[in-house]
Amino acid sequence: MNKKYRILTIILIAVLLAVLAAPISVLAAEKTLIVDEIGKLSDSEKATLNAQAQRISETYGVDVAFFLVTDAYKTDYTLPEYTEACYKKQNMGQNGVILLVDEVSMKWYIAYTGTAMDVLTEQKAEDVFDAYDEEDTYYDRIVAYLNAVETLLSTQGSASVNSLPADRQLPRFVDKVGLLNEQQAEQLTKKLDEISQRQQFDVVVAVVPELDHREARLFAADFYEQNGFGFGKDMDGAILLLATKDRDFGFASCGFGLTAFTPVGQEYLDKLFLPYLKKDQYFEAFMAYADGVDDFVTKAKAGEPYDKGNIPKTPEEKFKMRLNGVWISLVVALLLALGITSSWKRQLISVRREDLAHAYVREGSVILNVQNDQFLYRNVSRTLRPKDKDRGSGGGSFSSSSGTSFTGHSGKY
Amino acid sequence: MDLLEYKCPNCGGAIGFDPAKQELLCPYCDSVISVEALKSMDEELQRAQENQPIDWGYEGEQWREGEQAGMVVYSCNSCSGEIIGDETLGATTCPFCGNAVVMTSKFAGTLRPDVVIPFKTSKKEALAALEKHYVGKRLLPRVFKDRNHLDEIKGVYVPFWLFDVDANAQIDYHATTVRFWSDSDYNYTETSVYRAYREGTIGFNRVPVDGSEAMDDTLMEAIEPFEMQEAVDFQTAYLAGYFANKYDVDAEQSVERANERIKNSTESAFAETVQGYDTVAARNTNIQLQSGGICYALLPVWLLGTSWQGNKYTFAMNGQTGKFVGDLPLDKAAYKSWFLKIFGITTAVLLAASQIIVTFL
Repeated sequence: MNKKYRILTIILIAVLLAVLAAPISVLAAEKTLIVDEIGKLSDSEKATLNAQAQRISETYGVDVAFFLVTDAYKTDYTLPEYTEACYKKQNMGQNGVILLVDEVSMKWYIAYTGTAMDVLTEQKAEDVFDAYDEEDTYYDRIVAYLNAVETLLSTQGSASVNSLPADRQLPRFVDKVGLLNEQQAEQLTKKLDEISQRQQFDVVVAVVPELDHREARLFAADFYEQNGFGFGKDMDGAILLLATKDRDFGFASCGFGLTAFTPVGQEYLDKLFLPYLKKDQYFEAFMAYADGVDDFVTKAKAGEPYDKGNIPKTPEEKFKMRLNGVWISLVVALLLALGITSSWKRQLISVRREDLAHAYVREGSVILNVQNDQFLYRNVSRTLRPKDKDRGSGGGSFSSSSGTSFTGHSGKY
Repeated sequence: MDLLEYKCPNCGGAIGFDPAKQELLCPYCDSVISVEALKSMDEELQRAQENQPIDWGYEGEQWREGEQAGMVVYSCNSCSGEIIGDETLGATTCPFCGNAVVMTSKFAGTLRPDVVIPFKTSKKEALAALEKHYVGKRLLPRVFKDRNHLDEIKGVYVPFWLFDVDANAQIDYHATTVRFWSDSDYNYTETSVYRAYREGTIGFNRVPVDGSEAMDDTLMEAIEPFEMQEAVDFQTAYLAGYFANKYDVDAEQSVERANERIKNSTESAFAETVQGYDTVAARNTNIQLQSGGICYALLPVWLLGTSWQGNKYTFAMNGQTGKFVGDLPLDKAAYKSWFLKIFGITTAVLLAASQIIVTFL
């Protein structure tokens, strides 16, 4: 299928640029960027894909669209002309990418305009289609297409620098669900502000109803960045984001946070607030998180960030260790007492049968006439090695949608 | 046409010949068995023979004229043990059970001993050995030591049958070597199994078996070994001042125990020649015993008896080597007390240490 599609060459539609008006991009939220004219996608798939396309469009200021069509257009248009018409019909902005696939004639066409021209070339357009073509289902293909375009946009830094605000746009505690009451929210915000100012390191907590298709840590990183959080040019700070629908949480930190929060350290940070989250004690969880970040930053500034070898035990862990100490002490003492007293008891018994007659072997009488050792068979058994608990537990570095380096992890509570 | 079936020596499943490997493969446990090894194992099993009964050909020596004159037999009413001594000995208690000896009769009958090992230790040394036997026994009741009164100490010549035996042995040992290694995903254990075949001879001189019914066999084995090279031809003069017990278990009845010990020793001695393996265990043993002679002997034993809370405690000392044995009573109160003390102190120390360590973590 791929080769058949490539019959057509890729043509840049310059004219398209002129007719697209800037104000249209303001209405991006209302656009339908994923269009399925032949009914291959379910409504929920269309909604999910459209949300992903919308997010990319908002993040990078470049509309990304996809059309799956029949060959009915052929009576009035060529494929490039129909692509242009579709672009116009959807009110797409001056910066945009559209992939149109004619499922009947097995033809495809990619058009791009505005800032998208900085990142897409003929070759890269073919790469984008290859990513689409490699998947099996229509849904997966369109996801692959959107991801490929997003990758190109993000790696080239196509997100408009101007789109990221320089100053903080929101308070350090954002609660779109209403988990905390007013008094708790105020108290938490006060604490977050105090720590942030004192440490010059933004400590942010955000609660949203649900995630889009993104991983929680990436969602948190984009939220942090797009709302202007962070101190200094490195945007020093950290965010804990909760998505209540599926009980997801994501932690992300950038700037000095890359030093302060090692992967092992992040596991320790989780231990501080996760137990509260699991019991739906949100206020306690956020306060513990704020104190934890404060402690982490202080340690890192002292040149000893929490890492393997200096992770303190939590009170719960210490309690468990104390309890184990009691059991182990009792068992060891019992075994020792049994062992010693049994050996003393054995001292009282000295009358034992002698089952051998070694003492009466005639000297020099042992003569071996045949001595033959033969290999019979060999067995190899294997058991699975226990995996290192630290390996692959997350907490590594990653890039936000704009390409900024973050460290963080995602999980469920 | 018969279909031959061989069993896997590892799991017992039917094995088949693998033409590619030119070896026998077990489809159940994946063991690889060498053809040569299986063949020779088969041959050895066929060669295994039933042990033939041994003809010892012992007739014994009769008492010479006048030797039994002046010797009397003291019979115990309680345990039926009989001891021999001279008329002047005047034994008052049975050395086996401690009861009063009530019957005296003139000594007659039974075979004359061939050899005797004379006493080399004295009654004083036996008492000293008993004192030493108490030392360092924390769970021995103190009053047992303090109030302990020996009922009687007697030097007794105990009748033994001594067997000279040559053994021809064919023994198959099952030997293994184990190797361990790991890769990133698995830990591996490789067990290589070998058949170690040993065939040879071994000789035993004068293996003793207690010939007295009244004497505890285990007690007599516990004071072994006797140094048989010091045995001398029997003379009644050696009995002067000591008791002697005449045999009431004959050689034929005793030979079974001698054979048992000789077979165990043969298997163990040949196993010592199977070296370079991690485990060695005898799998098929075929030992033929050949008589080298039998001898009736009197061996010297000091017997000491005492009572404690209604129980009799008998101690024995090898009258030649001085080896002393005898089970002692247990002080149950001391046992409980020591157990609780050790348990309590250890628990306290470990608890304190573990809590301090956790505090500083």
